[in-house]
Amino acid sequence: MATSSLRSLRFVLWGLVALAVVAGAWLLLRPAPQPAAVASEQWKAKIGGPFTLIGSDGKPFDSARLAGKPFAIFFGFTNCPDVCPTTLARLVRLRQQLGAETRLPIVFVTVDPERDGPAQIGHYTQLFAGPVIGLTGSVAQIEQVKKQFGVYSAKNPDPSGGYSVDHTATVFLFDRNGQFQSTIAPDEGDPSALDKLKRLAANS
Amino acid sequence: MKALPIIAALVLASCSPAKPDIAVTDAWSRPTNSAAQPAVVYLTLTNSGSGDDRLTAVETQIAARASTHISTTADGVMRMRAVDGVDIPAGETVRLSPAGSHIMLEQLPAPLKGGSEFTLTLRFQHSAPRQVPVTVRADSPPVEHSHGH
Repeated sequence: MATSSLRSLRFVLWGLVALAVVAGAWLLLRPAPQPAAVASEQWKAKIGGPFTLIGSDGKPFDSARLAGKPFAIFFGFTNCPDVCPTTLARLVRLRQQLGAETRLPIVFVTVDPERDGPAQIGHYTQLFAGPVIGLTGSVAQIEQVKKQFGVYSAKNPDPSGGYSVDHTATVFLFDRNGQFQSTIAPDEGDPSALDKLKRLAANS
Repeated sequence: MKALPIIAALVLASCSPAKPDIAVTDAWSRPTNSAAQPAVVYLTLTNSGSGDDRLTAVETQIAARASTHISTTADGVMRMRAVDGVDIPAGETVRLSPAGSHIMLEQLPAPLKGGSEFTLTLRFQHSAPRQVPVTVRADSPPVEHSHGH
């Protein structure tokens, strides 16, 4: 008598355990990409945004002018002898490899507005083999745009009395809708960088 | 007794002077288009000698100041710092190349034009000073691979 009811009880309990295991497994293993994807999109959406700076002609430059084309944006300063010319020359060269018909503005924003006025930035951007849009602004305008792009910069005094500027040297890539897409790191090789630009141009 | 040949070898080795033998190649620069802009020089130093050496100073007639710097990138932030020299250990090749160690020229009376050439004098701790021709390249060489720092 007791044995059969115990057996039934055991059966029910094991059944419950099995149910719990299945439920637990379902909870753990069910795909939940929605929250992660939304979070990532939200983060991406935070980089960039509309801005107004000053072009090399001394006139206001509204970022709306970049709409409809993917673009690359890089922050630096004209007294930078190494990384800034290296990065801009590289971007221009890679853009050439995408084909002559590719419209992909390369935007250079100074983090040294005190020395880099419109004339300086305009003159500097002529150094490169293809068009580069040079932008400057008031100290406040530049600080605002730096914040929008998560760019860090700080003056570093030089023994000779001048200064260099430590700065974020990442290239930010945006699609034709002005949405942040990806970055090119300062020490990233050409093949990887070219690949990113190709994808950017292709998706646009 | 077995130690004797080893000791002898060590004594002999320490007696012969370790001499560096520096070769400087591929010295190049980029154009500038205003006098206020500093210029850059990249080059390769190969020490095929038995002794270490160090690049201690740089001079040129085309700029009032010339100094060695290093660009470092950490967490995406680029920092450039003056360094008082560059070590060239025996048997090694040291490359001053984009986004790394480089020579910075300041206060140029005239901008550098693509296709032109100028002379740079390198001074070393042990080796005699060397005059190096620098080519101003209008286009930059490709970055083949990541620097991996």
